[in-house]
Amino acid sequence: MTQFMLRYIAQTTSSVILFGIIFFSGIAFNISAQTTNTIPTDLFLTDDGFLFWYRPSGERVVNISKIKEAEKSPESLPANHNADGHWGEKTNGLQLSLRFPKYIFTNGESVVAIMLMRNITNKPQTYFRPPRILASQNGKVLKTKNDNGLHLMQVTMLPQTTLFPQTQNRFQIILNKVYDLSENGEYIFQAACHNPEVNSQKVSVIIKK
Amino acid sequence: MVMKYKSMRIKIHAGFVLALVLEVGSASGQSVSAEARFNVIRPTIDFAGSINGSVALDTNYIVAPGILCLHFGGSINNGTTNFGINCTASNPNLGGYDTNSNAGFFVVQVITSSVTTITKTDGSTLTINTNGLDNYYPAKNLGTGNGTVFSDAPGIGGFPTNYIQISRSENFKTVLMFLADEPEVIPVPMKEIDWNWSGSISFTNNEWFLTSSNAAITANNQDTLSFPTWSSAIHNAL
Repeated sequence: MTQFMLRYIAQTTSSVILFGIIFFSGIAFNISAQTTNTIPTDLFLTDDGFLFWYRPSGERVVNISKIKEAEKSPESLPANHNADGHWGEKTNGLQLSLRFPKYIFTNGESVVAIMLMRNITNKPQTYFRPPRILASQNGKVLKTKNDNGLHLMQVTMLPQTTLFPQTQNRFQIILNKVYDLSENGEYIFQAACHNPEVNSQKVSVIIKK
Repeated sequence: MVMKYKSMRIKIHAGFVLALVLEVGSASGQSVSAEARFNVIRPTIDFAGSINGSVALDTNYIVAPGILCLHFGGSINNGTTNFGINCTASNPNLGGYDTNSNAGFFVVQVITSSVTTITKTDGSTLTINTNGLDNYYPAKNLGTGNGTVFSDAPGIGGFPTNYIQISRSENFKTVLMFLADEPEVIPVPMKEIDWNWSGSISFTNNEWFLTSSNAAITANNQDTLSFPTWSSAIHNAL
């Protein structure tokens, strides 16, 4: 039986939020999203945690709209079609990219970096997220700012995460919050995962007045 | 006769019955209303937490093997990891919604409080109190919710040489959310597990000792309509 499905959120007078799915039996159409269990070759979808849906049988599918979005994004292209991604060597079934919206920044401006960790095999791969960004200036490795003064390794959620084939995770970081970038000059950044070991290429960024 | 729109109301009847009431009126003052009622369903599912590991002080923490850590679970024994807590989704019932559409369950974890107290060799103390989203939203996609598991094993390590006492106490709210694959839809809370862990260590005779520890589940497989909230995210520091 085909069912018409509609979602809504209604707030009652007692401020209790209810959620529901309304079923109108007998109406013969379906507004559910189109899905597929096949990702086109040479396309990598970004898994934001909501990428995959699971059919009652357990089959993993993706919404076709996600594929259409990815087809328009340079971030979803194979590494050899995306030189600006600074993709590193394929290592341990994974490949890591570090990219910036631009490579010359005004001192004090937010330096936003984007990392992509990609599964380049046909099997699920596990790694510790997020990758780190290493920084150096004039050959000197920069120390990270300690965000809460504890000087401890702290884990509140296990960092292991699984990437399915033809998918990638995306991380966006404002580097000024991680490193002191107040000095003008050239900085070298590199994304790095230590478990398993995967690195991006090194990327040069200029900060000036 | 020209009828003018007067009102549209939503009424909640007993149980999950929603009624839309449309009322129209004529220039002469007559009014007519029509009411349509819909049955509203809410998925059901179990989300049960179990404590599988203990609080330990050792170098056998999966996140940092070889480094001394205070951790709740996450110990590796014969190649198997015993997590601190396993939160298992089971018995999903979507009332037939998933027959022609997609739906899924997701975990969101909030740290409702994290308190770390440090005593240094000079006698000074430092206390850090924080809360917020635990790293990522969502924490994990649990798919169909049929036997899928979210596990955690929090910990701290890499103790500086000028620390002589460290205590850590954290409270977590782990919420199972339901999401339908439809436009403009948001995940909604289904079940909640509240849990905590704590541990204190002391540096005596050139060695760290575990002086007290605890781990507990305070609310398990609890129905909830409350959305998890936070104002900032707390990220692992590795």
